[in-house]
Amino acid sequence: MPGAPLLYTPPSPTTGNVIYGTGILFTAAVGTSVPSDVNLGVGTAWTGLGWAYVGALLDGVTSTFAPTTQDIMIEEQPTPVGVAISTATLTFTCNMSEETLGNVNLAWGNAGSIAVTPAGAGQPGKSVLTLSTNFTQVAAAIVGKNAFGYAGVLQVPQMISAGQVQTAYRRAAQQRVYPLTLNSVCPFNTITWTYLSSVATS
Amino acid sequence: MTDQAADKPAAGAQASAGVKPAKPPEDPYGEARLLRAQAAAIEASIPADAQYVRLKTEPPHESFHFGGTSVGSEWTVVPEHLAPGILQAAADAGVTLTQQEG
Repeated sequence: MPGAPLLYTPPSPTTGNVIYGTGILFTAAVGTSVPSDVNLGVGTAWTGLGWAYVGALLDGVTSTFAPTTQDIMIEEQPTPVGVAISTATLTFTCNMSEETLGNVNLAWGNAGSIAVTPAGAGQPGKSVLTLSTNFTQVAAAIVGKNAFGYAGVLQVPQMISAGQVQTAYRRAAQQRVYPLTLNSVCPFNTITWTYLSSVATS
Repeated sequence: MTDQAADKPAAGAQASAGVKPAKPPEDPYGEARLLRAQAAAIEASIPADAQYVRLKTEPPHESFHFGGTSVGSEWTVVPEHLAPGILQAAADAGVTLTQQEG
């Protein structure tokens, strides 16, 4: 007597969780408050609290989580008996396409200052970026749209801008871009990813 | 990444089928109300014993920006622990800031 039929019924994927779209990168001084939950997806709520939007990007923003591991081996077993985490880094990278002194400063270590002089009699209006090698940390957040259609925010309270920046001045091939590399320098348990899922009940 | 970026064609040729962000509400005063509410929330969150100073730029400069903090030509509240860095950066840049204890 044959047994039970052999079935093949794999689970179905949730295509609604397949998300695409740009991420909005904000930076601010370390310790700057983030908007309240209801305003996490409102750009003016972020800028109103002192967060700066980096603006247009050449190819979006990329977050990279890169742990390095150390295998723990014993002679008696070919496979590792354990894997220890040696380092774990979280990096935000992007190519900023808006050439502002704020963005230039952010890409070049966020160590400089910008002094603004208004136009006056015999004085053109100007802004002067004075650079420094005393790199300062920034808080950063990437805001994107999640599967519910609401804001999803990856927030890192302390990062440092320390990447190589090459900017090509071309006639027509491409706009000037300022590559930005932000490296997290805070304990990993201070990094949060907030997903709004439903409207408040009242 | 930057070498490849220099030879890439101009942006815009890539497919951009992303989800469009939601439009802000059509309320000309909505942003002002929102910012006032945010400011009130920030004020309420400041501890009673918080230390801060007031800084302002002197002519010919109308504003000074450093480390994510901006100081204008009107008195600007700055956390006390940020003040030394801002003052040093201003000195390095040749900008005169006037300080008043909070």
